[in-house]
Amino acid sequence: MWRGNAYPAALLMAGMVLYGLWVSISMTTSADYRELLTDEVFLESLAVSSYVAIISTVLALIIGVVLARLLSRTRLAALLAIPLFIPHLGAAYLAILYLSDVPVIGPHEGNYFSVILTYLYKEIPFVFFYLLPVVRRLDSRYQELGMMLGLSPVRRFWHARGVFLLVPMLEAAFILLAFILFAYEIPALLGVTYPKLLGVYAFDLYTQGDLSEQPLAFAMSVVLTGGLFLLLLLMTGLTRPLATKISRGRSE
Amino acid sequence: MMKKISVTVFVVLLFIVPLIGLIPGEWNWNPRLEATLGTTVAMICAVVLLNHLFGYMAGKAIAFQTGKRIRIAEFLISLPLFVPVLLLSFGLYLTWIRLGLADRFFGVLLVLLLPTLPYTVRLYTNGFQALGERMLEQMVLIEGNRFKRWFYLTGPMLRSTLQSVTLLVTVITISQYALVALIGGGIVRMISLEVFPAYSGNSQGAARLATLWLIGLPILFYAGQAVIFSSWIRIVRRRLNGSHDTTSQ
Repeated sequence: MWRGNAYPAALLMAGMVLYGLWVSISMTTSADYRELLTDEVFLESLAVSSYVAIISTVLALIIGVVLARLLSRTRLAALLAIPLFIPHLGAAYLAILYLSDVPVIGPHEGNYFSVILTYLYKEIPFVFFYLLPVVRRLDSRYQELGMMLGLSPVRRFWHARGVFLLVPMLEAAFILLAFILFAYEIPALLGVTYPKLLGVYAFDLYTQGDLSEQPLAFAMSVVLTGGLFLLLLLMTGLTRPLATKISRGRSE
Repeated sequence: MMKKISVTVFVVLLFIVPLIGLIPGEWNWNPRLEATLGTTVAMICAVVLLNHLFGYMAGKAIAFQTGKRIRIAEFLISLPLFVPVLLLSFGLYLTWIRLGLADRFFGVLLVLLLPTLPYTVRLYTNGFQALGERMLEQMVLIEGNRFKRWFYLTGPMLRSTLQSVTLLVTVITISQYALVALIGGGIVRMISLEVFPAYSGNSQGAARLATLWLIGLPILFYAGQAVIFSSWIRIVRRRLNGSHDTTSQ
């Protein structure tokens, strides 16, 4: 049996990512990084982007996993597939359509509530379908075993469900976080001109500013890629012992 | 029971009801929008096909190979999920200019693999894992010819994976404005380049029409694929003379 070949895809993905990063590094000098890290506009953009990304991710994760628990054995799961047909741009239109005249949560408000709501509309179904297979595989006998051993509800939840959900949930969280942190379309349509989210700020800097601003955009791509990479390494490092424990427990 | 009803109401109210506002009172045409359909459909087809090709091979490898090298390959494939793709495309654009790929269909096509292929590979990996190695080995015993085997067994059994991949790739591709505007330089005109300004403009009608196309195209692709699959499976059943058919009894 032919066992597939992962190298063409790996070469394409890693090639483009690492080459893009390499070009960005070669286009910048250390002065650009100093300028970037003291740039008030960038720092404020980083702060407000983190706020939007963290709130959206945490809410989408919690609501998504609760829905997955509640609906895993029902036909209602099909309902949540419908938002999967709506592109992100279309979801932004829904926000323009319904929230435009609403005071606090409308588009173009500095609190970015409309952006967060739009992400929730798209990402709750994403989390739901990402975790559905995991939730369906949860073995209720672990729960019974915990009951028999007289564990407290919190510890019972952790040993019967938490350990299995933690790694997939962190994975989903990281995908959402990286996506929302640097996305362009939704914040460009629904956000405000100041402070802009990172994706919008970088894109405008690269395309609208004069050429002297471009190194700043390249420095941004290096710093943010590097930062996210560190976070990823930290996360995998922290969860690896747990992940190996779980997979060993299953195979034996 | 109460809980189930309230969850249903919650889901329907928040996720389904908002779509009602998209139903148009009267249908209009916008020539600028329709002029982008050729490029958009061609791009979606190309991105979908490349995703199936690379994703199938890689997903199968990740599901059935073991060892350090495949884990590294898996990590490399998922890289675009964890890095700012738009920001890295600034650097790629400079390279594309040198390679003559900037402002070209093929250049945009390559970059559009970044936000799509990692998801595709995940879907295929899950699909192959659900199918299982034993099942695939069993199929080798049943049918020796690999093309026949794929047509009669593997393809139909991977149906839901194939369908999800096409849907996801279509939806992501059609929604990319920044990447297409940057790498395509405004010359590769996909539908998002018309939709985006329509949303920032004042015309409600133009924005609504644009959204209908935006949602309609993925549905059309999905429906087209569903038709292909059902006729495929009908042919397979007829060829097998109904003797293996357990569902329609």
